[in-house]
Amino acid sequence: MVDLIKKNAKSLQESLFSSVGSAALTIATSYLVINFFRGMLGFALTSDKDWLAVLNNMQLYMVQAYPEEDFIRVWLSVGLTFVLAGLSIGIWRSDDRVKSSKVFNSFFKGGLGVLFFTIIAPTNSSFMGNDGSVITEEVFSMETRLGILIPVAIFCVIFFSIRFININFTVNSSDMVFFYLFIPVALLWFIKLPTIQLDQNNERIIPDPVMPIADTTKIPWTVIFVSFLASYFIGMYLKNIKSIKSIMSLSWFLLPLLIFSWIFKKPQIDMSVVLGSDLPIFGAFLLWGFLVITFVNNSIFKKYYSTYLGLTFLLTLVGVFSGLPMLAKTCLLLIALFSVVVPAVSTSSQGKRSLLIVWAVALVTLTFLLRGGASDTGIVVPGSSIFGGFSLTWLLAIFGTYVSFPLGVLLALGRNSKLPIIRIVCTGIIELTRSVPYITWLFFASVTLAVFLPAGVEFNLIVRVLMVTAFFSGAYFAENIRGGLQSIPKGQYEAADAIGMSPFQKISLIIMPQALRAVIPTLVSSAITAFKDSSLVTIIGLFDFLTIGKTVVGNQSIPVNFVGHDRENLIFVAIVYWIFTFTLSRRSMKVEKKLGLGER
Amino acid sequence: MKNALKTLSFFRNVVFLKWASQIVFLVGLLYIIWSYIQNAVINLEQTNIAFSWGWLGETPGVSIAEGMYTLPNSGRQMIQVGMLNMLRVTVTGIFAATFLGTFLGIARLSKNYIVEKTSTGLLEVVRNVPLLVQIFFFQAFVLTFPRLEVFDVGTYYLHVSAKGIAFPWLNRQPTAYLFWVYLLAIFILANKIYKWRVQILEREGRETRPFLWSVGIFFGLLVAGWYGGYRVMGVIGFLAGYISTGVDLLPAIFYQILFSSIAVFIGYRSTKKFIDSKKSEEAQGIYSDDDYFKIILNVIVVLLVVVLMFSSVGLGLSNFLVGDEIVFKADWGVPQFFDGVNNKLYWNPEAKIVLDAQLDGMKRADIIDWIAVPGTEVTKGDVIARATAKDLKGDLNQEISIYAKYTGVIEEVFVSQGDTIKINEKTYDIRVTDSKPLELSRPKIEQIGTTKFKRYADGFGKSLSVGYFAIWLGVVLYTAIFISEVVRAGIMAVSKGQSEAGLSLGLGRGALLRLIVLPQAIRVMLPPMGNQYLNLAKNTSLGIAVAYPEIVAVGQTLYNQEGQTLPVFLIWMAFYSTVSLTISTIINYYNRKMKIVER
Repeated sequence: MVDLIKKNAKSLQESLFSSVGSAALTIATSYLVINFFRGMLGFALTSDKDWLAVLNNMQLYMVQAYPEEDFIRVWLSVGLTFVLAGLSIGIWRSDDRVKSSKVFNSFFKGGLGVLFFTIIAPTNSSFMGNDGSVITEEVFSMETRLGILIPVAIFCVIFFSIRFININFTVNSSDMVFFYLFIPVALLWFIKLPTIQLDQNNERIIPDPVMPIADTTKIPWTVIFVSFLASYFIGMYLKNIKSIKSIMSLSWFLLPLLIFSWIFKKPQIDMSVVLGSDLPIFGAFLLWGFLVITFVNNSIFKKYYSTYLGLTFLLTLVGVFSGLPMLAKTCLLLIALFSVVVPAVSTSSQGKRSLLIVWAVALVTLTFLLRGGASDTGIVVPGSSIFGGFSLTWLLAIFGTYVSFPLGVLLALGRNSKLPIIRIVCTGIIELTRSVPYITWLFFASVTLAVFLPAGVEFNLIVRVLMVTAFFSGAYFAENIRGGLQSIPKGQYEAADAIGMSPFQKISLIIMPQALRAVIPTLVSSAITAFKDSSLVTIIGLFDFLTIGKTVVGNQSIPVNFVGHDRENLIFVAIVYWIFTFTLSRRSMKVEKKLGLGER
Repeated sequence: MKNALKTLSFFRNVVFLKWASQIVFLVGLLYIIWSYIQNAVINLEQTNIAFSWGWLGETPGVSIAEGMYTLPNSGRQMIQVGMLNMLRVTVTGIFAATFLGTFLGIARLSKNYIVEKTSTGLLEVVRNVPLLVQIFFFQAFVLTFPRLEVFDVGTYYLHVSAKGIAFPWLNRQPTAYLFWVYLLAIFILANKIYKWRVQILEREGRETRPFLWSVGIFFGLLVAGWYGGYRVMGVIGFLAGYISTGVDLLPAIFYQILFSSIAVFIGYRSTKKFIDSKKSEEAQGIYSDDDYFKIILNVIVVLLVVVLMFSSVGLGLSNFLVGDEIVFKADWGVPQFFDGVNNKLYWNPEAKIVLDAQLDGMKRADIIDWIAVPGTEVTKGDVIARATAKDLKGDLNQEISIYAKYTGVIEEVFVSQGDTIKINEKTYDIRVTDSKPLELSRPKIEQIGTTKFKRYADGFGKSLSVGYFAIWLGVVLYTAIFISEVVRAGIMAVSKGQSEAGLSLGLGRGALLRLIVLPQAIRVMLPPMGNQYLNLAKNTSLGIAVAYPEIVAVGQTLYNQEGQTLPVFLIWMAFYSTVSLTISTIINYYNRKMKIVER
């Protein structure tokens, strides 16, 4: 025990006080840090801050104008995401085990942190009153301080001394996730805080009565947590099924489309349109694909396959600019790409069978999603769109990442192409898009884009912002992919040519897998940037998470007067953004380490 | 054997396919662009707002919160103010972010536990919160300062309030331009002396103290120049006068021919160089179709430039350069430029005097009589006119004197007896004969008229508004964090063996850093650093959220005013592209200088 203390003291002395300059730095930095935290805590705890403005408006923050009677859809979306997450964690369950000592260590460190803040919290804090005078009041009395200090100190001592008792067990790291998430869900049931209650005259009862927080939402959260846990077990059970991982990846790919076009939206499906135009189109393209697969090995068809391909592409080009329904255009594009792939895969009858299944499933999903996305929504909102608050932030981030990927790949391949005109055009597009700041493009979307659209075509502001965001993210991502493309040694290209691969085979089988593996961390960081940049739509007037924090809540006067309390909301918004971004970036660093990128 | 070689049909020839597909692609792309432009034309016709640039010359009728001209008299001036405001934040921000970022990057590598953990913590917080949220934070932070009305009117050394921050500043006098040119000249001279002394040191081996020499000469000349010697630079203005009269005689067609011949010359030189390179041993005179494409492209570009020059675009451009008013209300071209140089950089430069806050809350004054008429010499502080000052309502009649602001010879008087002069209106022209180039001024709080509002007085010290403070701090901190990552990566890229070798040679830590680690680290650091500078320049566009009038905000005001969204957007694109290109070019220049020179 004494040796432990001596060793720690020596290492502390070496790092903190190794020289005069170092000692001065330590003292100066500690002074700054302690005063900073004291100031922040004093700021947060003074009585002129109304943190209930944040708690009371959670619904506004999350979905803004979404009507309450359709809230089940919101919970369904969240629940579906968690179920899929649980399945994924179960299927991709790692075999890493976390040592119990590490867990206890992290609890100990957490306790130390709480102890630190309790000790340095100021007893008195002052603020500017309404008449300009400075009011000082006691925010953190000695009783509360001791009341927190003593239990936490005991907590820390327990976890510190567990080190000396030889309890040694390991827990699977995936299981730990559930343990860590169980704590807040359990706390939801037990913590009681002052909440805002209105009396008969719709006036706020002062002092705020103490009630369990999240009274209305704790049941849905508990249900979601239970289904999260259940899907984890199901995932573990399904782990060994052959193609489960590709099915899961496909489901993750389809999940946002499903949520934003069907669940969140409550589309009004006109059955006559479905039967009249969707089903015939679906049937026609299904037949077309079926014919291609069946006759692909026919000798006559094989001879004229390139002609068939050319005709299909021409038809696609013409069809995309004609007035065909959206479903037909997308199916045309799909059949063109599909026809390119078919000869390479359909050498055996088993391959053909699986190709047919894939084609049928793809068509069904496409029809389903497009019909949902193109229909009007049944949700009645006072504003112009059903998306607002946090849901809008996620919509912008996810859509930006989704579309930036194929667009970025195309632009990067074009920029590296040997054909001069295509290279010049792609370089021009990328450089022009990247040289202008994002906010300028948002202004373009909100005022100028309408001018370029054909007369009569009018898109919602959110749709226009999505279009411009996709373009912008695509150009940025193209630069990153270009880096990945350039990291592939030239020998790969030459080897592919030596075997006699066609350019399409070369790109899809050799180049792209290597390039994409190198740019996965960049894709994740690009997703994180899209999430952060979605906050900029505040400036053009869309009601996203930041707008609600900065302007809406601070200007509310009914039912409760929250005017002037915008600083607390800003802090809450910053904390939420921080939590998400930090978690994502930490996860991505861990994934990077696991993939072994950058190590040769 | 010959029968086995079937001649390919021409549409299977690789070269044909390559070019046919490219031309089809290009035609398709141009068609798409053309159809969208058609849409735009139709839509604009319907809304009665035609695409035009005329608004650049018209008075917008709005005022800008801060900048060079707070009451711009044309759209062009308004855009100039926006551009200058953006550049103010960008240039100062780049320097500040580099210093702060380097400091934070080195702190992250420190062995001191607390310093390292604090800088890492700061990095994690700043990096993961969106920039806009941070800017709003800083704005909220400044707005918590006490309001100005709590303090009395007075003069301070440093003042912080909810209206911003004010600190002392060196105000530019009319002779300041001369002084800056002088500074530049002696800086270049000092540089040359440094290099010369270093050359002698390396050649002969004796100690020539280059640093001492160059710094000594610089400061010596500086002191000598401050007391009037800098005015020798006035020869530039003197010459510019002659150049201006000469250039004025040039016809518009001169510039058209000039640019066309420059284009032809450059095209010819580059094509010749390319063809010569093909004659070398490597290429052996074999031209691939891409090479033909390059040559044809060169010729097409030259032809395009020539045609452009002799079309209406070229005519407009050369008229602009000659100085005739075509597009803009105020004529401004090459002769006017030299005229301006003549005025500002003359031995006795010209200054236009406007009436300012001397009137202390009065907005207008009626001239009773001019005491000093054109041609008289006045000293600073002399009374040159008497006027009756009126306040906002026009009631109070108070006789005031108007004082000369500088020492010199009065050239022209713009307002005559009996006229009313307003604030910011030009009153007289003076050829300044004696003044210091820069003058220290301390911030002063004044009260506007009889209303309750106080503000920082214009021209007394420099005040940073809340918007400037918020965007500057936000952008600098955010970029500094990313620069610290770059610096850390750069220093860690230098292999440990280098520092160990340096230490074993007996170098101290400072010399180790300066001579061994940093030169190698800078090579790695430069390209990503340049990227961060570009990000900084683009992030300043968020000033619109805190009401700082930089180019995006100014553009938005303009198109709300005039309805011309597309021209404003084109101006944005051109401006940001230019700024990005400039920063990239500067960074590339340093990059090339630092490249590893292989034997």
